Amino acid sequence: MKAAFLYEWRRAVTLRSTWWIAGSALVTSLFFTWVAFKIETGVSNVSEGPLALAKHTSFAIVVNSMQGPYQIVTTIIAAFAAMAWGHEYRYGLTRVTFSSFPRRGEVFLAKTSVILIVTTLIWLVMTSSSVGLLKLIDSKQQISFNFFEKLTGSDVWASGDSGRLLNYSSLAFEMLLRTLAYVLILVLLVAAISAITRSLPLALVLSSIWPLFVEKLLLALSQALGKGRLGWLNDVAPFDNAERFVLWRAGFDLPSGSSAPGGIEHLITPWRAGYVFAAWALLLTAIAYLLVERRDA
Amino acid sequence: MLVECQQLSKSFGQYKAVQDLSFTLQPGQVTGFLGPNGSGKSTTMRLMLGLDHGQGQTLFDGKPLASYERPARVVGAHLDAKFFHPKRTARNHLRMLAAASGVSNHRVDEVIDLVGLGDAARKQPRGFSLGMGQRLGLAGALLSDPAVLLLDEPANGLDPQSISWLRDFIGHYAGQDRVVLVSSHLLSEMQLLAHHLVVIGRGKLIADESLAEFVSRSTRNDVFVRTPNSDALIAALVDRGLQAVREGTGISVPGADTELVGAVAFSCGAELHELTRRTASLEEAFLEVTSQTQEFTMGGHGDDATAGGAQ
Repeated sequence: MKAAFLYEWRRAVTLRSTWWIAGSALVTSLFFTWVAFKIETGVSNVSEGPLALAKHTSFAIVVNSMQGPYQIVTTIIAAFAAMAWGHEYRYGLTRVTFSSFPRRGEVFLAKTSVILIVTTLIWLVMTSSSVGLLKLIDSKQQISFNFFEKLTGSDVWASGDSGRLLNYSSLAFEMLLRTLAYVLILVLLVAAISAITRSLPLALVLSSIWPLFVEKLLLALSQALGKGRLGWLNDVAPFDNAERFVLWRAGFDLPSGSSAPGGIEHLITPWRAGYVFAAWALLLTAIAYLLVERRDA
Repeated sequence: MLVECQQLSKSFGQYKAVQDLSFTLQPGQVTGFLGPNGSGKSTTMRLMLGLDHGQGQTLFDGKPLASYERPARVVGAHLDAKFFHPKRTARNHLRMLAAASGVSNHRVDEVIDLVGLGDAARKQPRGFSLGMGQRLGLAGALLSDPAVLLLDEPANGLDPQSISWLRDFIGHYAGQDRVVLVSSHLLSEMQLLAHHLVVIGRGKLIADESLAEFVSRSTRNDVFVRTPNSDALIAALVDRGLQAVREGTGISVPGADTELVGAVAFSCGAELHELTRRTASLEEAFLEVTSQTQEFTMGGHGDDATAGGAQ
């Protein structure tokens, strides 16, 4: 297994495309971080006090930068996953690989592991670079997990402030981790599609066209026909659930004034959507595995 | 190491590509794997490696390849000159393969030099010629210094010097008690290279014997004799149950040896001007044996086609 892993690791890192993809994902995420920063700071007309501080210290900027353009950034990363099997079939490398590793399960496991590890590394670099960029473009930045909660009534009297900073580090982390979970599930799914179709372009096109057009069309149709007939589509649609999973922001609209603790109760919901998305990825991965095992190389 | 192919079969729908094929590859000799186009040679090699799923099994020293911890150390295979990523450098391609067998980068450089790819090692192989692709494929197969080498048409695209080098190298490699199976359409090369032959046609085994035995079975082996007393000699040869065919200024006696023809000539008082043993080439023997098993046949010459049309 170690040999298969090392083989797959070298396969991935000795390709220039891998580095281009990682670099493109990084640059794109940094760009969106900058855009998110500009939007967040631009809308604030408060230059002093806790509200301004909340704006400038909000970890949500990073979360936003990861969540907002998630489809663009993750599609770039998904290209890496599509390459894992797509290149094998396109260039006849399956014969080289499977003659070295006749136990194909080892190759499948190694590929899956490397896809997940490299994706996690890219994500970590993207996230930490976003934090770094925020500190760079505004030296006053004190990146923390603080969010601003608006105070009302007696609290205002007691403190004399219009709001206070609350620390929701676990909540912020959970939101950020959901973006990681999303991208990991997505790369699994795209890798599975590329193994099933034996085509890198087809995997990328399918994984882009499906959520953008096919699924949207089906869901619109279900809406038009009424919930009775195709209402179940909302429950099982992979990318609609993925979107709910990654973009769920319950209680995170601070500092616009809503209550953060109230949002925590709803955090069960996005995970259910995440499970649906993951179930699709696992199903396709299982089909891909069976095909890789049984197909002639 | 002994390689036993046992009842290998493979069908693509109704088409039977390989049928009940069994043969054994011995260490210390080069086995030539011959057959017309579409006879199932490449499919057989893929079956041996477990790349294609079919019936039967291939045992390497009594064990399936998959049961070895590092199969890449047991078998080195070169199946095609284009099985690489066009943008991964040749050296990196080999480094990747080296991970499968656990060999060092030093060995990678060694093999690159061995196959003469030193100058192109850090180049992307998308611009490689067929010959350079063959060298890269061969380097990959040799990387782990395996006990078994399977080469599918390794000489395609190589220049004469490289073919000569390949022949010497394969002979030397097999001489180290390794198993070498080489398929090739270059029969003149195979005649110089192989000790043993496995010949297949339409997926079935036609011959599994030494090169000498295979060639000796050809009806093209004959004795050519020239004599001014040809009528007398032909009569005497036919009396001895031999076949005698007039050929130009002489007589061809298929399946005979010079001693016998000389004795017959002596007995009938024929004066001999030439007595030559003619041995069929591998190509002649191969064409004779596989003439009925060709999957794809070429059309005739233009003139023949015209003549046929006129009839």
